[in-house]
Amino acid sequence: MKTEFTYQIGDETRTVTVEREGDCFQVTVGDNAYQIRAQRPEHGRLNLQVGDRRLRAYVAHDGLRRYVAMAGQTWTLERPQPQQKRRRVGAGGPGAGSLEAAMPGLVLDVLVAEGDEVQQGQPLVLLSAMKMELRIAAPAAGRVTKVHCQAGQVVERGQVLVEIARKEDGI
Amino acid sequence: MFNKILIANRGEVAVRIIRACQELGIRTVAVYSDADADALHTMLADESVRIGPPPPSQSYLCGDCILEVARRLGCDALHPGYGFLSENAGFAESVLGAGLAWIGPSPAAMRTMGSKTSARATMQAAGVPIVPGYQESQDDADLLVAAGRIGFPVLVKATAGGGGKGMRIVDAPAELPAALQSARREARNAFGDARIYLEKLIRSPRHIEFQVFGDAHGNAIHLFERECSIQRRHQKIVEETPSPLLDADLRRRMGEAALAAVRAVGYVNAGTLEFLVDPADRSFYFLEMNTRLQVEHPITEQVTGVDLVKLQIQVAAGQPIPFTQAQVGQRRHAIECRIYAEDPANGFMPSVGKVLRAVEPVGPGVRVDAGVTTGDEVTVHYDPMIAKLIVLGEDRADAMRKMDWALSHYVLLGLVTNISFLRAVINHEVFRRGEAATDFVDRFFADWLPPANEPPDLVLAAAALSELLEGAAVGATPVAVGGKAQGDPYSPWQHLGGYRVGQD
Repeated sequence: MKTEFTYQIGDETRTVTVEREGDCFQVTVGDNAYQIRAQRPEHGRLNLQVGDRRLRAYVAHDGLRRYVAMAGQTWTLERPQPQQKRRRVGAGGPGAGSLEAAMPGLVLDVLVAEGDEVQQGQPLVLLSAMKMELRIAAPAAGRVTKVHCQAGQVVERGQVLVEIARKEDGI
Repeated sequence: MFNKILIANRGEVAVRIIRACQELGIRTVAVYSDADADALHTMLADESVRIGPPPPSQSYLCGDCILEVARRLGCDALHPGYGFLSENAGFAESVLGAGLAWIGPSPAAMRTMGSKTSARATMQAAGVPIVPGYQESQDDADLLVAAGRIGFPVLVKATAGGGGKGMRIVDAPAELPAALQSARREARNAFGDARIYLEKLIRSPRHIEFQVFGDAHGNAIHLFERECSIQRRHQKIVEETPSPLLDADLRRRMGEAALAAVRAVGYVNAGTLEFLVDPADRSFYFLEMNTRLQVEHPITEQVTGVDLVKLQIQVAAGQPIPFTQAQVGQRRHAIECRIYAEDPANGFMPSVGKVLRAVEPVGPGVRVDAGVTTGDEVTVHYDPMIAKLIVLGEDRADAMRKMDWALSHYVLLGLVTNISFLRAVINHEVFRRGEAATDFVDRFFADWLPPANEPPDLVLAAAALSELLEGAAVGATPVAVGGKAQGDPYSPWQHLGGYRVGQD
């Protein structure tokens, strides 16, 4: 009984198949095949044996994300979305589209309103998180088309705060 | 000695202090915000009391709330840790006024040495060189004139500050008003005090500080230096002792300057004098004094064998320092790395989430002072430092190797941390030569990104095996896949584990 798993690494998809054979697993990663003994002595820990090499791996699952710590390094892998649904509409190029919170935090102040003309580098929103203050500035001149946040609001990383239409002329 | 101490702090320092109290046989009271109801310090203390919602202003900075708890539970002393209320002389006065001991210096000494402005004047009077600066006015117009006289670039710093909070580098007069406004706001949020001052920016200095201690019997000692030149955004990230820059003569002269400060104000309890050292001519300037325990105190403990937190408690209880300057020495070499929940691949932005798994490195000469463990949440409300990793090596080279080993064996899953960055710092040739100045990170790591290695096959294999073995553990039934070309490869029904229906 063979089971297949895929992991997303950047733009690339890697496929792993696993088949149990007695107390061993036949594992293929891409074109390479391995015979691995694996035990799970406790939740989140694997003891592996590959040939003469024995390895301890710590693995944690968080939604579709997988963390693997092995041989002195930690790796983050993603299982693909069950349906290829997009989490958010992508931002446009520099100067256009939406400005997102680069860290989770508290909106201290919104310095612009919808319809405002803004200059490149002009601060739009002040965010505070973990006692740091972060200034979200306009990447280029343009007009504010939508403000999605207000002072006092807690925002998540990646949440769209402000949308800007690039000033098409005069650049 | 005290019967019951309230620890007015959170995170790793609260844990550190609670442990010291428990080792001394003193009962402990922790206070916590709603965000820390399940935190390590909350669980470890003998009694724990909720003081308010997550924002510091309504919890860990609420002196009245904390003092009310201390009174109600019959505490006879309060330890403020670092940050929060630790350098608030008004709060220290309230604590003393309520009949409790304050485990720290006197409010008068906190006012004199804790305020950078009066500390500079005091040190100048004691004959210790200081960095040119301006502290006479809070008025923007006055500050602009003063900045011009000092010469750009200037530093804007928070009078009540520390840890880089409220600090701004200003390169030109036009940038000053915005920097003042932003620094004041950050200072008010972090310390409840918006006052700022100006200081000349010295290029490529080394940051070297001295740990001092005074007692109520007139004894004053220093416990040697800590070099804290490795900083990012004015936040220390790697500290070591001894400093590779100091020789015996400079160490002696700086130690004497540090002791002059302690004697000048009759300083009692733990304090730290920070100096900037110009590596070109080895001249040193007094920078500021921290009138509290420092984050990086463990490296001093490692090389001197003195438990600084216990000594703080003993001195606050009126006991003399149990050794003399001649009896304390520096042995071997200690390094500390601060582990932050932040993403080096994303401009070191703080990362938040649950620690799904924490496995701390253990072994000879390895110490972990952690504030979180497996299952704990790191939230947006507080500082992103989650642990300190401290090593003691035979010498500097041994300590660096030990630190690299310890960093690589520190498993923290579920959060993005700066561990890969710390390893790159420890292994950088400039750091290894002991030549790193405070601009080290900006100079050599400005565009640094974690190496984008392909995960080795065995890492992918481990992940896949965990899908099976962890999935089996929660009762999932394996689903056979007869080959690769069977329907939609992304269908959840082709895989095991990992999915929960209704999950986003």
